Amino acid sequence: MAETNSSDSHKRNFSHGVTVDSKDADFMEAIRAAVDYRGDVTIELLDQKKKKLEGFLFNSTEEVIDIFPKDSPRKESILVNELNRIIFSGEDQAAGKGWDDWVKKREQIKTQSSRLSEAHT
Amino acid sequence: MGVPISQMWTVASYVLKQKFRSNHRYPLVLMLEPLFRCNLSCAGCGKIQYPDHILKRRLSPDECFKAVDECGAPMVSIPGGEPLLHPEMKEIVEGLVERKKYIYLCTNAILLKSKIDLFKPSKYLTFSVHMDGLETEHDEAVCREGVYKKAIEGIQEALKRGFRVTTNTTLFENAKPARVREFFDEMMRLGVEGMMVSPGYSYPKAPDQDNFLERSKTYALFRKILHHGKKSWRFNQSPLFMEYLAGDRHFECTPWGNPTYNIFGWQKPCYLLQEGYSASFEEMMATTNWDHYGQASGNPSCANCMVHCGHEPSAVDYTFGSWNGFLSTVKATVLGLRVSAPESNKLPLLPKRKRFIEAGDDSVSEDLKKVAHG
Repeated sequence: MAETNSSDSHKRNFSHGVTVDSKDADFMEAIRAAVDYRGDVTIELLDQKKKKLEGFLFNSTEEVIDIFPKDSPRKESILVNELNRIIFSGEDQAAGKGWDDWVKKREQIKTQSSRLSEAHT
Repeated sequence: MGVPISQMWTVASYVLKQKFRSNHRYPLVLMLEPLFRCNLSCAGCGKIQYPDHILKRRLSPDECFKAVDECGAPMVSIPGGEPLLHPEMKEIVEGLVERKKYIYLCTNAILLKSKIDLFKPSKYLTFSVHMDGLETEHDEAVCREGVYKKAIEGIQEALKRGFRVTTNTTLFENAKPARVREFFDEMMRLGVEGMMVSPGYSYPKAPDQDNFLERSKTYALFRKILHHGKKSWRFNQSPLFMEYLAGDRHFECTPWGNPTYNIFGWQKPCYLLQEGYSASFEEMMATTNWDHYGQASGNPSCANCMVHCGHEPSAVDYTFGSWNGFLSTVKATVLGLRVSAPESNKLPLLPKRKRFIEAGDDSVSEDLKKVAHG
């Protein structure tokens, strides 16, 4: 679900589906969060003639961002002041892969296999 | 200890050369990550959670050689991801052997048996096999059953063919000292050259966030494991680093000691934290605010970190930086490791932590300058 309202007084959680406009007060914060985000983002540029760019944002300074576009082998650097919008479009690959999930899954497998062996005996 | 003389000599002469040149920040081991793709998805690992197109990317052999030449460290560790998934790993290893670099190819060994024909035994090449304990503990740590047995097969095959093999073990809070000691015995029985151990680090991206060791718990755990350690145990790491793990001495982090290069570039500031990338090693060394890292910096990310990649280079630097360090290393090497008893109240004296101010705040640099100039 997209979240575009930047007037919220609370800090935004930059997670999957969030869109941040360059006019938003927390835009630079969003860029830093995008570097930390383990999913792809979509970049819209101020120059509407230029295509949207979808890829993995891995580095940023106050002036430039570095991104590996999804469909290109080469990284690209884009000036921050050329950006119009950033969308946390790709799934966060680090989310939902917890230790607890693994333990739960393992326990389920164990329970299932013991039930199966009981059923066979 | 489990490090061959020729390697010790190479490292010693390299470090002494840095000392003579008054180079205080020098790399000791290059962490070369040629890819992030892995055939495991361990709960304690924060390295591989990337979109698929990133996992498909990898460094070419030429990119690897350029990074190795640029860095100049005498040792190269190849973690990842799983390096044996890299289709040009043979070329990368051959190129590094040609450069006389001591290579630690860090592998989970699932593919070791099937890919071993690609490599030739050499004093420069060591397979450093990821083993987080005996079968139950290891399979639980790697989140897949059967991996321990596969790794043992790989180790046996590599040893049979005359390769150097070590193990690398990350210990988490749930580690049981008696089981770890049994594990050490088992690895020695297998005939590995040496073992490396390190406490886990709370990766911001690692799924297992509650399970990482805090400093005091690390001391307690390693005392229980290493107190009255067996003479038969061989470790492929500095004995002073192990005394540090057991809280018998303190080292501040030297994050530049194990610089990291991967598909994104030179990682700032260390193998564990990702706070930006530089295009060159020189730029990374020059533009990282090193005062922001380590226990004493007050940086919350570093507060409880005792991981080998930042602290083992500190231990090695201490060994070659003072007579006391040198004699302590010789003593521990000859007489064996002696760490405090688990019930001992002895704790190392830690430097006072500074008030940490986020990067980007202009007042920070002035503040740090004042601290740096006393």
